[in-house]
Amino acid sequence: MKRREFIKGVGAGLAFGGAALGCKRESSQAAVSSKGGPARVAVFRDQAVRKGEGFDPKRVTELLQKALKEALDSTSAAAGMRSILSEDDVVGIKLNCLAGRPLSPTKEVTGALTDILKRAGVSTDNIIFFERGERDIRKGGFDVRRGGDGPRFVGNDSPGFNYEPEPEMSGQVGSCLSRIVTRRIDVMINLGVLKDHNLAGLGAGMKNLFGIIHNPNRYHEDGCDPYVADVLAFPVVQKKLRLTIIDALTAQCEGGPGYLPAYAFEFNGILASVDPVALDRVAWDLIDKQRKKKGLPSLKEAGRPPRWIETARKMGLGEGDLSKIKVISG
Amino acid sequence: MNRRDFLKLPCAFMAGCALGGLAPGVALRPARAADSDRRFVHKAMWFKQLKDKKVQCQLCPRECEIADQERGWCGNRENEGGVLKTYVYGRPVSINNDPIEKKPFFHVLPGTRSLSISTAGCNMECQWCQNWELSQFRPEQIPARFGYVSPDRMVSIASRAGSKTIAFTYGEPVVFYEYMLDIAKKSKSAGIPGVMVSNGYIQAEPMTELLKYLGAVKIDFKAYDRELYKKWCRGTLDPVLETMKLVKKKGIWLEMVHLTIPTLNDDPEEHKRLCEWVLENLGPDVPLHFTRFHPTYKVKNLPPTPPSTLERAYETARKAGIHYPYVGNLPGHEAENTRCHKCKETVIKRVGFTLLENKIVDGKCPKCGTKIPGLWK
Repeated sequence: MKRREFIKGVGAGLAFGGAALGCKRESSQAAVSSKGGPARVAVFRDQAVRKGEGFDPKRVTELLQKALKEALDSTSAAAGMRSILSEDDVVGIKLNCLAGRPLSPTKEVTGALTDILKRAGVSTDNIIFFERGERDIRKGGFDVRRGGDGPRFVGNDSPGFNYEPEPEMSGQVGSCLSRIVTRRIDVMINLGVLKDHNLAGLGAGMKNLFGIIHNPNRYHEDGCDPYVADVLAFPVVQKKLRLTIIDALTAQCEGGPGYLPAYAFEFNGILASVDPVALDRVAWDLIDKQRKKKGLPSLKEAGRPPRWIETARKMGLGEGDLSKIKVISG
Repeated sequence: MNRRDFLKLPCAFMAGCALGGLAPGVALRPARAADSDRRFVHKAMWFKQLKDKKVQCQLCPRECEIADQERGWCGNRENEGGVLKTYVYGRPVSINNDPIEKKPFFHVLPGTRSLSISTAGCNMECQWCQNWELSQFRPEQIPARFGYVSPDRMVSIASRAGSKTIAFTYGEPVVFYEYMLDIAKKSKSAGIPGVMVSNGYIQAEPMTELLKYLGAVKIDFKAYDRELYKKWCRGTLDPVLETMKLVKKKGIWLEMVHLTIPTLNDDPEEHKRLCEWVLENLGPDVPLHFTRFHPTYKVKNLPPTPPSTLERAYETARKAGIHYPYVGNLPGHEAENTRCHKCKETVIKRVGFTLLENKIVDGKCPKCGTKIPGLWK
């Protein structure tokens, strides 16, 4: 190897391989089952959850409680929460409101989650629902709440937050990270929706984490592979992400990430897992089942299988093999 | 200087600083606008509609297929229900009245000021981008500190600031195409030509339309190396070469900059191949600036370019037959000056961005009468 090639190699390594060289991942609570068994994914549904044009808050709460109890392998949702966070933690909940109100996490689910966290001992003043920008919060039908009593609803662009001033590398992703994630919160819960994504294949849990980097538009090539996995691998994500919940009361099997009524369907369910990779693998399966019902080709046949799930599995970020995932449904 | 003039100096300096380097008296107060301000949202010119409310952008060679509510690669074009919109129309995030030598244009109105503007966004991601804080962010991530600045107002600002050109620069003007085009149309009518400082990563049709209104183009050329374009800039080389040929064909003044980076694009053989391509396709009169790299953004592990590397590139270009090679970002270097390619007389002396002497008369060398190519009036 010539001197020039050596220097070039070192340069490339530093620029692109930060995660591999210097950023050893902290042990991830997200990547394993809370009790060390196989990855658990809870899929709970209630066909009576709808009430008029909206949802029955009581039934949504019950649904979420059941899903969390099983996902966290605990005696109750609140007890399960206490196993992944402490009372003093500031809890950040990443929403996904890109598609607007019809296909965003619902107020009923955010309300139920707030109640469960409260019962687990978390002060509501320490609960921060956040999105890429305040514009997205509004699109999702929420009011921006930067202060006052109770949970905040803010964006990365809300005063005092913004992004870190320098980019950080994780695999092939180099981004400035949301300061809500890096500085403000202790624990992150990812609250996405169940939908198709025209480039990534799937827009459920892991893909929603693109909202914590400043330049997500740079990472949609090649079906977002390996970029989605690389974002999950950021050390701060591995440290703080403890739980993924999918509000699948309304889901969409084609035409995402925007809302396309022709392909939206009433799944009336909630998914939850501490393993973000396993959860997305199950979500992929659910989307494919609905696509089959509608006479659509599978995501693989459509040329956009979420390959980043397998990439994440290979990186040790979670379980991507469906046969090794325990799906608890009800 | 009388006492009155002396007292004016600090006031002028402070006003200049406050207004981002503009001349005193130019009223451009920072006025942060709400990021939800719809005045910045403008229908894009180059796209086609696809099924399920998708669109395909046709501005740059990426041809992003964009689903409803999503953005293109550049980060500032969004699909709103099947219509592609730019989010940066009238939303500059940087306005400065720079010496034109800073662009750098060395053969365009030397010693004049160029009102230099940029919005957020870029359609490449050079890992060493010197303006990454503008180019690698979405519009809403950079405060709209100037508020809405219409094309008319921008031309008016340039006129009052004494700018002789308006430069579309810093970030990447391709991604604020509609805004740039409207300003260029108006500034041309006002006798203040628009000049574009670009990566050249644009489709031929929009570029052809734009060139009708531009006075000059400078291309930030990354390397004569397809692999480098792909791996380090996340773009492709060939469309850039085509853009330069188009600019030349349309008779618009063209200069090229090659930011020379140790180990990445400093190979003399590559420089030689580049010069051969330039001579064959653009001719010997296109100035070729080899400029010094400083570590930044994602390439902080490489050292600044040694002066000897730039000198070697300069010599390679000169020997190949390029009439006007330069070195840049090395203030005071002899190769910042312009020498008549025929008699070697120094016709323009510079230090950094400062013009020291311009001896060109009617576009000709004062010694031998050879025409020096460029825009001199």
